[in-house]
Amino acid sequence: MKKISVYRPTTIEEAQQMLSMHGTDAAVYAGGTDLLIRLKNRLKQAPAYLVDIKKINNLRYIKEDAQGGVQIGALTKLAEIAESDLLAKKYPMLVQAVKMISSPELRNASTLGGDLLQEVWCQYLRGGYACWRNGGYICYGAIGDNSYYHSAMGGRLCYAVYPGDAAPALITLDAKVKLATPSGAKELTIEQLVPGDMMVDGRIQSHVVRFNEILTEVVIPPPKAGFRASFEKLRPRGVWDFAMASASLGLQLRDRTIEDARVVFGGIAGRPWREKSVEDFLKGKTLSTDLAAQAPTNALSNAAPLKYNATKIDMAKGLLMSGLEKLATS
Amino acid sequence: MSQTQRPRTPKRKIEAGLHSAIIVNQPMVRNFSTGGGHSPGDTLVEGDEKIVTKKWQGYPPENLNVVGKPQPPLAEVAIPRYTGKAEYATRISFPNMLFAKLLASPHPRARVRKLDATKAAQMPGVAYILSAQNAPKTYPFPEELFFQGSIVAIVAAETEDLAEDAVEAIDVDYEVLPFASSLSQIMSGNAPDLSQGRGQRRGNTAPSVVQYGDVEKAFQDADIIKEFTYYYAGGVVAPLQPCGSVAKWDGDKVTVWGHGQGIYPPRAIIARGLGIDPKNVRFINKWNGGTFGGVRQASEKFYPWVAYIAKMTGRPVKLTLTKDQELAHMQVKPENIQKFKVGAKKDGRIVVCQREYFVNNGERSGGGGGNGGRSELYLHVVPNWKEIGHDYRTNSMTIGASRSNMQQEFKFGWEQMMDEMAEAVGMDPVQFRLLNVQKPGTKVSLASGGPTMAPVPEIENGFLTYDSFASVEVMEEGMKAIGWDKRNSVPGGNPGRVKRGFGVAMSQHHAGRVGYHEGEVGFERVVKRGGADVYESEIELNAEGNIILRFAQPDSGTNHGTGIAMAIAEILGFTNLRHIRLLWGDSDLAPPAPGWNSGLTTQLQGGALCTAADKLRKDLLNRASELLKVDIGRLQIRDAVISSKDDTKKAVTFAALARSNEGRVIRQHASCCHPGAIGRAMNRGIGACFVEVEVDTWTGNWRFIRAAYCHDTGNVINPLLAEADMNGSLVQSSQVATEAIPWDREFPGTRHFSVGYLSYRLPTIMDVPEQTQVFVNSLEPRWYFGTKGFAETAIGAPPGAIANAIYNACGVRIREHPITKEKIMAGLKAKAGRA
Repeated sequence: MKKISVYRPTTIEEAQQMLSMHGTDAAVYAGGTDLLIRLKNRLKQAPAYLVDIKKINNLRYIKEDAQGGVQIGALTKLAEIAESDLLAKKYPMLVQAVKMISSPELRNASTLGGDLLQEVWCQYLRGGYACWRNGGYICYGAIGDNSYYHSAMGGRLCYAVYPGDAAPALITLDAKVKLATPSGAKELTIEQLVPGDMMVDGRIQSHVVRFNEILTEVVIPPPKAGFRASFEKLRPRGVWDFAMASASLGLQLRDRTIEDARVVFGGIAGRPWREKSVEDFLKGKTLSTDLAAQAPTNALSNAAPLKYNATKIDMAKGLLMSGLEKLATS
Repeated sequence: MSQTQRPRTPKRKIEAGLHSAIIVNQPMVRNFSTGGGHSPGDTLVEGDEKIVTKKWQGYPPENLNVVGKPQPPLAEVAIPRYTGKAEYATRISFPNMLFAKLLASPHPRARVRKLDATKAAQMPGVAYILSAQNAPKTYPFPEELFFQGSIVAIVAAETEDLAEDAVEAIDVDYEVLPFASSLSQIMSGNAPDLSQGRGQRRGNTAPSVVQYGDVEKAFQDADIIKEFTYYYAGGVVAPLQPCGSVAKWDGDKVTVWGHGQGIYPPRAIIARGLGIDPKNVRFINKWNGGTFGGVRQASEKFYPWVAYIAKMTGRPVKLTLTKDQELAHMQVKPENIQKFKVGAKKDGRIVVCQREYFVNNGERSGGGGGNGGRSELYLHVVPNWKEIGHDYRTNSMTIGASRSNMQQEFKFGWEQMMDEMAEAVGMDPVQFRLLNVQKPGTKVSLASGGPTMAPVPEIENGFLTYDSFASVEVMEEGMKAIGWDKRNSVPGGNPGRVKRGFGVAMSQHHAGRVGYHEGEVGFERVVKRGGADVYESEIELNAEGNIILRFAQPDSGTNHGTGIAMAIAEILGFTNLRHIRLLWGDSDLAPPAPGWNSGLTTQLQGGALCTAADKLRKDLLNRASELLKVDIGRLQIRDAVISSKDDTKKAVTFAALARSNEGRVIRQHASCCHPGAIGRAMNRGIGACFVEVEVDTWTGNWRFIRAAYCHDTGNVINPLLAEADMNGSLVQSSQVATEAIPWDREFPGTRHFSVGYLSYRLPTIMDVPEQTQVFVNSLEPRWYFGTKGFAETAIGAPPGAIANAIYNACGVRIREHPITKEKIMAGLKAKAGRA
């Protein structure tokens, strides 16, 4: 493992100073379940200065706000979300999605903030290949063996899929995040937070958080009456693995009529993939199993699969159908 | 924050008992021609050489107190594993120890033009750098780096991190050579010649042809002829314990702690590698975190270098391989293609089969490793056979045993072929197999078994006869256990989104694993013939009345020591294991023996101990008879007391007998040997796997729901551990079905192990099906208590069974390994397109 220095700030301000001091050589260290592996694998892009924010108070909580929404501190463990009665009551779909992230062991260590901002899992990047994200000028995934970890919806520079499950689920719930920046607090939607491969501070990353910014909180608006949601994930094994494809659905219903819809696919593109054409198709329709069967024909028509990953699209459509059917029959 | 209080689970005592195993006992009297089971007379007379065997070696499977009763593993082997006290090689540590790390070749094939370690040698904490330049002449580094991961240098430093830093600082100028790592590469027209001049074709060794019968005529006579091609992509086992070793010198003697399947073979390798007398090498290996045949090599090949660095630095040295290095140096299951042309009669009888195979033999030169002993021919009756074999040397890892050898690799194709033939002739797959399966009492000619059949003394006019061979029972009992009548008659015929299906496959691997023990005519003949592996053992009764078993074999979680102890306890008249002690895994403590593999351990190492125990029993009875002035025939033994049947007051304890002997111990020594490739006589174990799967036709998601895993076992010594072992076997074999070595399809010759088990996916507890183990007690008459080896008899079956079940569920036939959700999805889509 390369030599690293670890800072243990106790306030956000201290942490920001340390991050500013080292620029892109530094990174926020929370659960470490992604960061430490990159260090252990001796990736060039891994930081040398870790700013451990676990000693900062008040970043680990799940609390209800005055309007009936929920605020979740960025350091909240995924396991705590999975076991939260409050969340289970208000946003059962989020709990269901988080329970399908990796394994119980990793959920005990990883944080919600870390899950949202995690690095991609491309076998070339993780194997130390000098790709866009690791000091090079090529995407090996685009030209290589790309059945699982790479986008079937096109890309710009890096073709790795955004691997997280929490983000698509939170987009469905219209959640926002708060960032602490040197110029004060900033609020972004999750879609704005993770727009896919972006050049930020001279690096390719999936999110727009700058080197001196810290994600502090996720805010979920209060659930509306008649809102129903589902989360479907397909992975190679029953535990551990990232999504080959996932589908988060949120329907605002009046009786059986769909007034509004959110359809977000995961595991198929460089970002959580919101599919507006399906949302539009669903709006105004009556929820039924027949509707579930029709929905996929309107989905992912602009797919651009690479050599080995066309089935991701078929799987995503199957998950969409499956999620809608569950909502129609429950 | 919401915190839910979990209720405490009340403490309860866990009793040793069977979870879901069924034991099917065959009748003691059976009518097989050579007399499996109890038939008139208590001897077997077999073969041209009229080998006479006392049935059950005098210990019949009747009135047993210990054998056959579920027993938890012996505490002295099992408990240290859970308390952190077990001496795994990776746990051995010394205060002044150095840590070694490897520099591995990134290229599939290369030569080192220049290696400059000057900068690395000056880095902090670096103690020694070993490379081709300074390696011992008795154990040099490879000249040509023949696969990605080949060893280039070893650095020893004060910490693992410092060693890794120095590895990165070594400057290597590689001459990259033309390579071919996969079958598609080596079989292409422009492949480099890797055969070292031995091949008749470029990059290839000469094809081998094995045939018998009249193949051409049989095809003319066949009513139905079908052709099939299957591809297996390669696989590897995965130990929990990282591969590695520790070496420490004291004067001119070296102690090496290793990770493998034997004590004396690695000791010999170390002695040869260092050019020293084996007496100066102490090899210790008591516990392993899994070895599976494939692991041994990844530790073993480094022992001499680790010992050499320890000698040169005068300090203990520990080497631990990283996961990707380990996966490069373990033995792998080879990639292969099988092309079948099969002819059958309308009634379903197979009359002829032609198999052409192409096997990626890896870095090993020469061929012949590919055919896997043609065990399929011991399984099914094939009256006319032709096999054309192509074994290719490639720039890939060493192939070999990796939890069985050429079983799943070939049977994935063979057992799908059997299913496709059953469909072609319009028969149920079970009935089709039963029609074509070898049955007990059948005489099998040596010719049909091919050249791997060793000339065991039991051969009669070129034939061997199956006797202890439960081929029909494993199928019939499996059908019952899984509920075969619920199977779809039409593949994919069930309505609805989620479809269930059933599949079956058979397997036959490793002879029933019975050998000869010293004192038997066969033993003398096999040893005289030369080349036999002789397992020695020693048993000792000490002054405290404890029985100490000394044997070499390390424990890989196999718990063979418990099984052996149970047989010994039974022979010596104990009703429990409280007086049995084990001394194992250390060349200073245990007598010589070859390593263990292929289901030999309990049978041969254990057989040697049983033989020694038999001698000790007779010795003790003689001593007691003299002392008590009671005729031996009137003596009885129970729990370390020998007494007169007529007057129980006339008694003496084992301890007293030991104390009265010179040295206060009584020792016996005995040996066993194995006759060769197929084991003794025709008692080959056979297995079957019945599976139920569920396929989600919307997403390609499939689940392995249930399995009935059936084994021809002979008498099971310890059903509890046998059940646990076979549960593990099924998990391992399902992994072989669903994962392949992660070769890059676009950058040939490179593999992706960097993401560890996210790129080589082992089944998790969520992927393991509900299992029923079916043990068919086929009563092997030649061995103590009717036991025989069955460690890997059924292991070849699951991959084919799963493929067959998926076909039955949804109509998608996966002929190209591995079985993945993507392939099922793509198959369903193609099927929907056709419909």
